[in-house]
Amino acid sequence: MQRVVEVGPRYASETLILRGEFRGKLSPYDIPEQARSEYDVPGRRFRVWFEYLTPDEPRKSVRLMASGGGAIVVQLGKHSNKLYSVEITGVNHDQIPRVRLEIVEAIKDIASKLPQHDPRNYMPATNLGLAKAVLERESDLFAVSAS
Amino acid sequence: MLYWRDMGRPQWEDFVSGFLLVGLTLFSATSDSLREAQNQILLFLYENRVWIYASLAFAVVAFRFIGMLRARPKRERIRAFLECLHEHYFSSGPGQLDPRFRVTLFTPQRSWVGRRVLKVYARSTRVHPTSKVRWSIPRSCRGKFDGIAGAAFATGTEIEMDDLPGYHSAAEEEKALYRNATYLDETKVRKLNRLSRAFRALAVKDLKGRHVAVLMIESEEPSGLRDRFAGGSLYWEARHLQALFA
Repeated sequence: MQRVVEVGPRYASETLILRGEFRGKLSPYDIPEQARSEYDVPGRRFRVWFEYLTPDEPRKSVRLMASGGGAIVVQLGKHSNKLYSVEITGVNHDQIPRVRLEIVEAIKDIASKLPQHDPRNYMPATNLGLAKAVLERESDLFAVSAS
Repeated sequence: MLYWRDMGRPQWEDFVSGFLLVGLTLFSATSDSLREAQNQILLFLYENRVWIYASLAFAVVAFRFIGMLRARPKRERIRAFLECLHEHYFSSGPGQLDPRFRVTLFTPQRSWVGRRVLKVYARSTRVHPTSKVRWSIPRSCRGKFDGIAGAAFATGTEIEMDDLPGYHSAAEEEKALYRNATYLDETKVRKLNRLSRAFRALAVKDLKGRHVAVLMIESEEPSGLRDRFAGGSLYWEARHLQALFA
């Protein structure tokens, strides 16, 4: 069964961008409307994804190693670099609450690789920070039942 | 004309035509019959050059004219939407638009020298409905923006700015503060008809996440926008503009 969490205005403080002299905030196109999660029993796969106003954006995948021998596949927007989904494989149902930390670490890792001085990265860096805050605070996303 | 379509990365058709061109060039270098045919074509082109130039010039003018005609309904639709926004937020009576505010949509274009610039596409007011000022969109901005519209487009963000000093009555220090906050230089300031004191700017994105325009809302009052947009983002406007550009 899917878990759904509304994001939108509840995370307004996480959308501010304050870099040097630049003052802005994430546009409505880059603030997820919802975050969803799902666990796939046969595939032993846990997936969490974010829904935006830009659903047709082409994606690119970043593959990282998970601690349990599985893989973490992060999907980012090709044009925007914003976070669309994170999937972690090789996870048993009872391990789901613990994968949260791994997913958050993966997002932090990707955010740290964005060149900070480039203003075009202000938006994706803030979007990744927002996604991290959502995953850290919304325990419901990690309380999924097996489907 | 849908200028923003020209702004994207090379498409697969560009690569196919590139490969065909390279292939034909290589083939012609090794084939006598093809070289002969090539010479015939070049001779024909040379003999009829006047007609060819004239037809090309006519085609360019015709395509631009058709493009203008096709773009007009869309531009009118967007202008009507901007006027609707203006009336919704800043009405000074039934059907009257408060002149202290204005709502503008900028779209990216390529200038004649190939530089990417933002230009006024439509504006809610009849006072200065167009502008000759262009806002550049550098490929690599590195913290240097051209105006608030340029900053919003380059970063793909929403910018809120309130309580700016009145430029013409301000001291030199405050003028510098204004220019710094709005990413303007003195040359640009001189070109502008109006120096607003509060701004909201939003980079409009299509369903594929590409930047297609900038929505700019301006006020001559320093806190003219704060109350009307208190705490909220331009979500409703973002959704509607995306639909209009689809």
